[in-house]
Amino acid sequence: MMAPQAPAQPLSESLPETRRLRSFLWVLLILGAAAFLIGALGASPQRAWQTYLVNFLFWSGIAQAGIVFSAAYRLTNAHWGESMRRLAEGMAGVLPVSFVLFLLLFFGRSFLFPWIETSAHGKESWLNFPFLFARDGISLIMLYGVSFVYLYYTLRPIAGERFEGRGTPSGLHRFLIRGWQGLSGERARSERVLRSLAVAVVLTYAAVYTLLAFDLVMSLEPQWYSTLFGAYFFMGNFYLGLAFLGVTTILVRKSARLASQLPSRNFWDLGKLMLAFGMVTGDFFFSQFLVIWYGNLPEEITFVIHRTKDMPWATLSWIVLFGGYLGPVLLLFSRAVKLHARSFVLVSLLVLVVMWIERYLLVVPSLWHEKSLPLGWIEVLVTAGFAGAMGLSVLEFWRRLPFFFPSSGSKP
Amino acid sequence: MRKAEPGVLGIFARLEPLLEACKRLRREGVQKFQVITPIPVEEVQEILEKPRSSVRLFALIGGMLGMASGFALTIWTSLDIGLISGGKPIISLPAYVVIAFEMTILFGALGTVLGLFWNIRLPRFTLDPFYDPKFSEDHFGLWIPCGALDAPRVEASLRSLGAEEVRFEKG
Repeated sequence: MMAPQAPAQPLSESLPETRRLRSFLWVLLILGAAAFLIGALGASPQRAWQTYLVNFLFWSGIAQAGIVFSAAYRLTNAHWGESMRRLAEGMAGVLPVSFVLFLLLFFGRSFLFPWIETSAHGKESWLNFPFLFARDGISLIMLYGVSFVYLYYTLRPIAGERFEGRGTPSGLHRFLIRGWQGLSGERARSERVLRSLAVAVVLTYAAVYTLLAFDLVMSLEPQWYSTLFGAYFFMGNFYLGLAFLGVTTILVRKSARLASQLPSRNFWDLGKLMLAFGMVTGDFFFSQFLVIWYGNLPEEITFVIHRTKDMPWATLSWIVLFGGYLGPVLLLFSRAVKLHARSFVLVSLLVLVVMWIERYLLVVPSLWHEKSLPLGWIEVLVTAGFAGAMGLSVLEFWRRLPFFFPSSGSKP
Repeated sequence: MRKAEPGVLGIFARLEPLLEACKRLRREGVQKFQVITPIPVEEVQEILEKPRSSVRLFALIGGMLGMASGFALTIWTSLDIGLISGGKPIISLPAYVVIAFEMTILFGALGTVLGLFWNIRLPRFTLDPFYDPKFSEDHFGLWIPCGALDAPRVEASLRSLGAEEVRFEKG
């Protein structure tokens, strides 16, 4: 028989009130879904689907970068920002939604992949839709699977500590601590398992995101190729993930009053990472650009010329070069910029917005063949809809696992 | 030999008493004293409230000079030779970025080393009169310039703070 249960504290005590934020996010989601449906079913299916693809890549990338950030954090034996790491891990709440969003790409295939109607000569065995959809789907299942196993071992000791001797928890919490062996043993085991899993997460991420870059971005212009493009894509993705983490951290810190859990030296450290990954992304861009520019081969250079010389794309390219790479790197050199919440959040927002434009610039010029710039209310609303879905998924994650939220109980 | 000054030298075997002594000197408003350590000790910097080192400025100026000279070198040599190669314009910046980048790193690094030497005042061919070879091995020194009259008081307080050896140098 179990001892009479200790009066359980309400679990959600540590979570800030989010009702207004939720309704705001629901409005965004509904507006976005409506705009997408109006676009896809009538007004402009091409614009709706290309924006959908850009946003799928952008937001899934951010969510995945959260887990990769945590894995990188563990692999380097870091201790500088435990609360920040938890916030990053919470972004995994988006991954199931992201998988559903991937499946929906099925309906937009004829607007996205030019090689469906006119076959890519000589590349049919790789560029055919059933094979592409199957391999990308399976890869995403693998990547999200590894990410969730990783998350499970992160959550397990904390869940166990929370529920030890407090009766039987239910549902998700019961799943998290089934077969519990006692705190110290479980901690050591999680530590050991996570050490290997972190490597698996990082390697799977690199492989799967390379595949996604080749299949969902490079194949939109099937005659073009660049070997480094995969690495460029996942590094840039991690960079924008860090920027998103910076913005989230500062918003959470302010709204949940977590200044002691998320001290400003955390931004300093995150800022250093952002600086490094901004440089790496810019360098990977330049490494491809230089070789393509120098070789001047028709099948390679068209992709670059289309984006850097033809209007309206050329303007966007300059914005990305200065606003995404050179500008943030120069700004982040400064210690004061990284250390102060206000300036740091501005730089992070700059990176976030410009990296969205960058993803847009990778996808859309391959698909859009008119003179006008397809950037209007459909694009804005669909993006807002994705942001709403992302925010709601993350909030749902924290609502189900409130004990994991960085609050007064956890160390900074 | 440098111009000698009378003073009291305390030799410490451990870091903590030395830091304690530094803090106490600061508290008592003593401005002029010198700490000698065999290894870099950040805490001393903090206690002495030294301004931030100017090495960063050397690195920045070096880097900017490097970038400018990288572009200058490539543009000038290309103009001087004036050969069109690969169908590119004579001044083709993308290719020069590589050279400019390397020169930025090189000059930045040289600037940093120069700044480092400037700040630690190397090279130096004479030793302080109070220098003890132990300071290059495993002991810390604290040199407080003072006259013979004050010396006994300073010596006593250094001893009480845990100095292993205290001596007065007439200079």
